[in-house]
Amino acid sequence: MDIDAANRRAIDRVLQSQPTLVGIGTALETVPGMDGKTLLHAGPPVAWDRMCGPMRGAVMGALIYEGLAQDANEALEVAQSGEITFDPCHHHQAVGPMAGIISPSMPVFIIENATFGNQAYCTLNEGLGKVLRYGAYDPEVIERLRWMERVLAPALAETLEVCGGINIKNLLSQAVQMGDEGHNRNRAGTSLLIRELSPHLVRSGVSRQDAASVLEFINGNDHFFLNLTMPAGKCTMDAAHGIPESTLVTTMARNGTDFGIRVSALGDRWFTGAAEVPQSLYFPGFSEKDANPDIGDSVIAETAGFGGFAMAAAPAIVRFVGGTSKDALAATLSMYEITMAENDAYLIPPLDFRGTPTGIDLRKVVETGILPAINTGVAHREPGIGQVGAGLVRPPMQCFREALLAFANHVESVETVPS
Amino acid sequence: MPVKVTVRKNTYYDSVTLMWLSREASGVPGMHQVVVVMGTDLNRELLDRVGLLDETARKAGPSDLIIALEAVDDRAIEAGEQAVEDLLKRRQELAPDAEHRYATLRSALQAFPEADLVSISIPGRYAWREAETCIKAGKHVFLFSDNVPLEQEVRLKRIAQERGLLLMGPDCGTAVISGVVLGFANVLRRGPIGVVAASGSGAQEVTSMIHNMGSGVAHVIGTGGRDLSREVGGLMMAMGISALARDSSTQVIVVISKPPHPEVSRGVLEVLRNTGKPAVVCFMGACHRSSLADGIWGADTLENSARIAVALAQNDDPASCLGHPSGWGRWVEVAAREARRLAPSQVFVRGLYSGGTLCDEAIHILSRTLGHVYSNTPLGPGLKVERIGAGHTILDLGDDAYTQGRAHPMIDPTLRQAMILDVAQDPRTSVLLLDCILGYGSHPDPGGSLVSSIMKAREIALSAGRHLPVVVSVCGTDLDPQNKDEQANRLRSAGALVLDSNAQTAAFAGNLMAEVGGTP
Amino acid sequence: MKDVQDLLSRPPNVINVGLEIFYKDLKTQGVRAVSVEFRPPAGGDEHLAAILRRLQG
Repeated sequence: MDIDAANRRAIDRVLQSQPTLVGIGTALETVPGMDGKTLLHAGPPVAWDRMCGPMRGAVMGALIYEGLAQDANEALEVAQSGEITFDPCHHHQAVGPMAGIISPSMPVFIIENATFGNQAYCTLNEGLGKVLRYGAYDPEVIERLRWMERVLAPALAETLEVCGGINIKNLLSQAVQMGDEGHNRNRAGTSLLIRELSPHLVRSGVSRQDAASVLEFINGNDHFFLNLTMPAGKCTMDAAHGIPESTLVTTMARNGTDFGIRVSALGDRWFTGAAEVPQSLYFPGFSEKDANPDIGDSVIAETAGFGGFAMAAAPAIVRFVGGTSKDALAATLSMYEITMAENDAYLIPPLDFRGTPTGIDLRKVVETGILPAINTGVAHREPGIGQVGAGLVRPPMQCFREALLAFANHVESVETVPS
Repeated sequence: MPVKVTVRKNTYYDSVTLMWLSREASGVPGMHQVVVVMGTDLNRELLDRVGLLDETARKAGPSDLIIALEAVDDRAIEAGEQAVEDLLKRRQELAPDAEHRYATLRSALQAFPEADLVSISIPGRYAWREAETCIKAGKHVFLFSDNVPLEQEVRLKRIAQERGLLLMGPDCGTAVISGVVLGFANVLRRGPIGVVAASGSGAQEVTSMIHNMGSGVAHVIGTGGRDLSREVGGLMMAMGISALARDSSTQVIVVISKPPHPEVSRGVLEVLRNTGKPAVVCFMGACHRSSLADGIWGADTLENSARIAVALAQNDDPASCLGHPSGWGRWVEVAAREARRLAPSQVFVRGLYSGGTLCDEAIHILSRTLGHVYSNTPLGPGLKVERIGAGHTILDLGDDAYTQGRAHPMIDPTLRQAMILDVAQDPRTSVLLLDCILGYGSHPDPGGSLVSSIMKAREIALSAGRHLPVVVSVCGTDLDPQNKDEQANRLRSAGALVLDSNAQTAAFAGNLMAEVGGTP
Repeated sequence: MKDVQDLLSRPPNVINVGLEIFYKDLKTQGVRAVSVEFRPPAGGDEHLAAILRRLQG
């Protein structure tokens, strides 16, 4: 048994991954295991009866969008009927922010790992406020989804054909140097993306009117880049998943009810605990009583060594965590205690360009009691209202303890006996 | 409920700052609502919804700052306004002391490869594993922790020895390496005398006296209290002695310990002889008089260990400096005078010590003239007690029995303060002995912490028609964080008799009792 | 025994594990030092701590 060697292999695969945006496809055709009656969701497996408000709203919206229901009432019936298969995005090489619902007709980004060949998928970001991922399902929401399907996605698909692939890792590493962290702060990344795409969009066959509305749409949404950083992270971590004896945590995800993790050596087993309400700053008019428990696959960012793990590089986010640069530095520094390596691409200027702590080691989390620090948006518990704040959250320790016991059982073929 | 809305024109703050500010300000007592936002349409709608939109706010624009407060009364409103003002003005200071604490030894070793030594002061059941990690990482260890299993001490000292590393401890309270104090130790002038000690307070007394005599100390290597047991065999003692033998700054070697196991004793003396350097050994209680035997000086007291070492370092003959200290005649007179003031009931010596070896030394010195001396760390099994009771009683309050759930008496004086009063109330107490240990690690004002108890104790005795002499020595140097002279002066002002060494306080008490009981 | 002679040849660089006061005293003396805020492995859970030791290799 050489866990350290297995981990070195795993972390090498993480660091060598080159997630590249190569195109846009439709979920049904692109995402493995997708079919006409399947809805993918964020986080570990969860049945309809345990889904939180925003996720139920998003499911209902998706059913209406797909034409599987005419209105909210019918959508509710269909959702409860048992006809619909619900499965985690993660089981299908995909990730989704907040409720993270992916339905067959939705366009998805295709991210390919140029080094190892594996792919990952994510929907395109709808914007802020009343959107599907926060559980909204009004006609306005459906209309926007249709516009994305019919105008935005094809325009971007054509643009990508002209420009070839865009290396998301490169863009993200530049963005981290510009005050982003790739999870809660994506303004620089979105700006770099538009810069990258614009000449090709203009050169493509897309009409001027559509090109303008595409650019306006992206420009109006600071988080557009998030839906690229997430599958970039997924693509990266999938390449390091399934390595025997490795204690690398390859997945962290929440569905608004449970928080779940997966470990490289332990295959598809999820280790879950109750999702917590983040310690947050709330937008004016909202407070903790409005907050939904932690939700979304976006924590793939921290799993892959950015997001909260690059917090010290993102001064604008700093205030969400205890309020001072000192605390952000301390939070980032403590992450080095539980990770395997320092990233070679995501560098933190205030730490003298030290690489972000990357590759959570299950053993170190249990040993030190230090849980991964996650920056996250907070959703309103009622569907369709939107984001009510942002803050800091940690996974439940229970996930890591159970995973460690399972790992020990797995690698030691005899029953573990306290020494 | 009163509401106050203020608008500052053309005053921009970003939304994150304002959210944080609103949260901070809402903590002001009496605040019901605080909303501090830029005057955008959305924000004005919000203010309207919560009843905080007045005429001025209605007219505010997106680049104007709106401060809206609702509180229980006008006073609270004012307080809220002041809080918002302060928060707006507050400059983010860069962390003055952002000293990072590592969560594991492993990450500290990784971050600080130039580390030579690791100081470990965590519970014993975890401490030995950390010590093992250090030794395997090639680091020397100062192991302050006690309650380490004996078999682990033996095993780890063997591994450390194989790798040429010092494992000072477990239960090692004192070390001074190249002038750097580890644990409880005094600030000492550097000089030619090297010390290897299995005793903390013993090392402190000897080295303080060396400093006070004008000489200096090269190093103090601690071995931990159990090093000279049969099982451990004096492993670290031997390594320490050999290291001082090779150390060019050390010219005289002093060894301090309780008497080792006889086999171990032989081994230690052998190593000492082979160094070729002048050496002094104080195996507390092993000899009644200081003398030279087989090339090594044996000292009967800690004070004499220091005097012999200093003499050797100065190429003087130690024999010539072993008489009574100058001024001793006066103390003999004082002892007689004190004895005359005692009431007939006052027949027993009592001592309350924070330093284990100082306690031990007092017991040895007094046993010679008084016979049985009871203690929690007695010379023989029949003399073991846990509290002041029958007969002459000298207690080591740093012993495990007294430190369960409580800090060591060198840090926390409360138990000793209480016991001083108990001793004073006992009509049979003739004289009270105390130690007062200065230096790093100790209470910031050990003398001061004894002053009121001493005064109270003497008052208790006085009001019952008795005179209670209190005798103290201050173990420390003029370089210590606590001001040694001031410590001594304050003890004197409280009515204590302050002598220059622990041995002298015990001898004083012996003289006093000789006058009382007519014992020779 | 070069290593011990090395230690005695100059002021040591120290890692402090445990009592904060010892670390403070080291810094007061101008020693190059860092401090570890020790917590029992696995939050004091002996069973998990034993497993971790086996898995550390």
